[in-house]
Amino acid sequence: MGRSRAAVNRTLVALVAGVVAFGLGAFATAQRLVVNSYGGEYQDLIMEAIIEPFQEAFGVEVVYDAVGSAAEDYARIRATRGNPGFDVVVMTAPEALQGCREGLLVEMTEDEVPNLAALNSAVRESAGPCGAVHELQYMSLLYNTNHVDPAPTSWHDLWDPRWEGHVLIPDITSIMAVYLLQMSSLINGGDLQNLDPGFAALAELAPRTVAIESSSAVMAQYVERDEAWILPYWSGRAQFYKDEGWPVDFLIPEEGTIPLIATLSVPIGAENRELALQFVNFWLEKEQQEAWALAYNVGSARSDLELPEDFTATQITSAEQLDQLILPDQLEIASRRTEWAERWQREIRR
Amino acid sequence: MGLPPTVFLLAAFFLPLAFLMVLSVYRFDAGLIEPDVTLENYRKFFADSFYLAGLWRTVRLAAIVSLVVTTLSYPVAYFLTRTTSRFKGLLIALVLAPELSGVVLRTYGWIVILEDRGLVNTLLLDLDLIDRPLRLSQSFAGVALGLTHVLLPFAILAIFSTLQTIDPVLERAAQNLGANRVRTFFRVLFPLSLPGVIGAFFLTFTISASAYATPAILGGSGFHVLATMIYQQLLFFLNWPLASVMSLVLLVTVLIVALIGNRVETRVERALQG
Amino acid sequence: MRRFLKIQAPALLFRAVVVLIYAFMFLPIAIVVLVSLNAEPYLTLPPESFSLRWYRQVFTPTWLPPLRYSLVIAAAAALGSGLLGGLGAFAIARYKFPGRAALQAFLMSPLSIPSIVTGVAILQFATMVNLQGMLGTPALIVGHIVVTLPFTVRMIGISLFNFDRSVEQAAANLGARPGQVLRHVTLPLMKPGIFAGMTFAFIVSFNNVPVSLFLVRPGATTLPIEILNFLQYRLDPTLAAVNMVSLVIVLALVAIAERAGGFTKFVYGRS
Repeated sequence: MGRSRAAVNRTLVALVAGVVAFGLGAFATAQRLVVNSYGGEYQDLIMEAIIEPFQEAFGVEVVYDAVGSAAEDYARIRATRGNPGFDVVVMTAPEALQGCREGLLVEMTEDEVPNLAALNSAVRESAGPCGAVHELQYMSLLYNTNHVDPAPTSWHDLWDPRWEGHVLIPDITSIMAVYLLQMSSLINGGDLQNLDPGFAALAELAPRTVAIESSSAVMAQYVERDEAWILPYWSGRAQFYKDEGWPVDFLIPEEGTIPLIATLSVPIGAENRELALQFVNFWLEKEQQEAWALAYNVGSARSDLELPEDFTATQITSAEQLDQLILPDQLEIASRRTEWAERWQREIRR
Repeated sequence: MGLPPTVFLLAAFFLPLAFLMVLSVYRFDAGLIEPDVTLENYRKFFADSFYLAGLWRTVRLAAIVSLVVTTLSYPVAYFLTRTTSRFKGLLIALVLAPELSGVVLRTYGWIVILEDRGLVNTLLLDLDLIDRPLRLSQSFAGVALGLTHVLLPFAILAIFSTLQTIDPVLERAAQNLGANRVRTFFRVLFPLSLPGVIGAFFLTFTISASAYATPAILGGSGFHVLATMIYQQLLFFLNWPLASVMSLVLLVTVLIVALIGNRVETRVERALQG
Repeated sequence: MRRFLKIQAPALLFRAVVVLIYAFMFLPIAIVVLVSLNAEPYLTLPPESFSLRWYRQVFTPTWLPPLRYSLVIAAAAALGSGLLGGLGAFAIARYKFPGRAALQAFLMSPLSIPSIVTGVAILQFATMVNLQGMLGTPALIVGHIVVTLPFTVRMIGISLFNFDRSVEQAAANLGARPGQVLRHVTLPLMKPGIFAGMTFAFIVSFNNVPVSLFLVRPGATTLPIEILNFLQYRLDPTLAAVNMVSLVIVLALVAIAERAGGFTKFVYGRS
């Protein structure tokens, strides 16, 4: 009895000492960088590939904030006029661009973030000065290898009557729908601005879909349950499901495709602006870009990465692949998205 | 006595809301909110059949759901009042279960039940009652069912808490005077429980009119009520002025219904006391 | 036999209806339970094999701190909301004053707007008046009281409707001072309503996503937000297990509160 009590006391003392040390430690490294991104397995990957190395290299503490999707993060930035309580945020090009227009995000220069110079200039410009492109994925064509055989070759294959009831398309709340709309226009005689042919083609396709879904996690469930056989999907996640052993494969159709441009941004009111910019720069380093590409199965806007060959074949990693990307004017998307969304909700119905 | 909650709500809800609703008269232009005063957003809402249809769908959904919920809740509330089971406490606690099952999984459960190849359709197909799956998920019916499910606890406990306050002596007295059980129920108990029934109806009406998660998940992307449209404008299309207009329209609609409800309540109350 | 049926038929029918409604309430939950016990990491139904592995995941540093945080916030919100809602409902029910209907509608109004609007509005306002330091626990409690207030106002209000004022009158006539009347007569009569209202306030706060989303502070999140963060990437049975654990905890709390004198310990001499 006495012994166990002593043990309890020792534990308590150790615990208190630990808490005090932790408190002092937090005090000593007064700088706590708050990084907002996503949760789940993404969090485990980012901790290992980026955040822990950064903490070691810079001797600072990073608080990881997984709250909210990119859209919700943007709403927080807007409601707080650029002072949302986090220093760095992971979003996508349209939000980064919108934030720039509204003056809510820091415009980054090569002086502050030298690694911006290493990024493909077309991709970099497309995201604007407030978004540092840290990740690229193709909008690829994902298909079930049991049902869709031979493999599809073109975006037109989505309209193949054989897949009636098994096509899945994104909803307009997802940026993927905007890109699909633009691709559909492109392959039907329109262009990236004139979307009439795209609207017409998708309106025709909509009644033959199994669903129109906004969340990519839910889209994956349709694939898993064998209800969706062919759909547009981000190539990084597509690779993940293929590696999980699902009967799926993905490819880039012959007409080419538009990439998902993921960006790092710093809100205008960030408490640790300098450190935040250093973090952005750190993530754009060659070593971190390679680590992140492999960890999350994604491409990069840097073309100097050294990665395994089977990996570079399917993700955006080389100068050639970067040059072949179709890059819509994100500014136009930012300013016309509402208009397109209203039209989509009226015309594209199952 | 009404002062503390009033002051609290003014400071913590109304003032913040007012500053957001001001946006409803700001101009929205190509993704940006410009501080020029305009009624354009209101015109846009009221001149467009798409948005008006959303408003009408909202009202219809809320009316149907609250009616069904109130009706289904009464027998359960009555049962809970009269039961002498020693598990009464547990039975009451269990009523709360739908509320506690977490919106995402609960709706996921519904999708499993309602989808084209879900439990209900499989069963009906196997029994040869239908020859093609009914469109149960991603439909008005699916949303109504899902909302009915979540709102039952509120209505059951609302009615239950009124039934509890009715002195059982009244019932016994009526029976001693020769009325049978059914007659006692309709002549004595039911009228006295009306405030609870009315309260339950308007409470569930309000909740279903502003509910977001269930319509969004069970209705699918093509199902638009005001709450889902407000969400989309706030988060995805960034037209906060229009979102403000829609919020005000929803607020006023529910307010009108609430004032009607209040009238009814006052009448019932007077009738009961008079 | 026939006679028996004639008497019993309505009662039997009534029982059947109640059982069916209970079944309806539990149907989707049964599916969540099945999912949480599925040994496979996919949401397949019916499960091919059973396992408790997902429940082990629940009792880890990922889920326990948010669970505890949610319980604390919900308890604080239920208390605040019970107090303010009680005062409001009492004022509406007991005093005849002009604008009574308006007060009722006013106190109910947070319910008539999707709570994401409330969340964004409070966040924007806090920034405008430089109260960003309040984000996190204080803002969460205030935000949750706002969205739960209508429930306490309604539930307590309903229990005050049938309030027989003559009981209070009688107590006063027998010489009870106003304070005594309140303590020994009025409050006990209001108790089922207060209990029901606070229970709902607790549950609504415990489940809230849209307000919390905008008012949490980095590093301390509530359970539903943590679930949502997790969900952005995958839906796996851990979530179902988390859900079942929190369901059982909250139901147990409610049952304990009910034991300690909730809805049913009641004034008409019965329990």
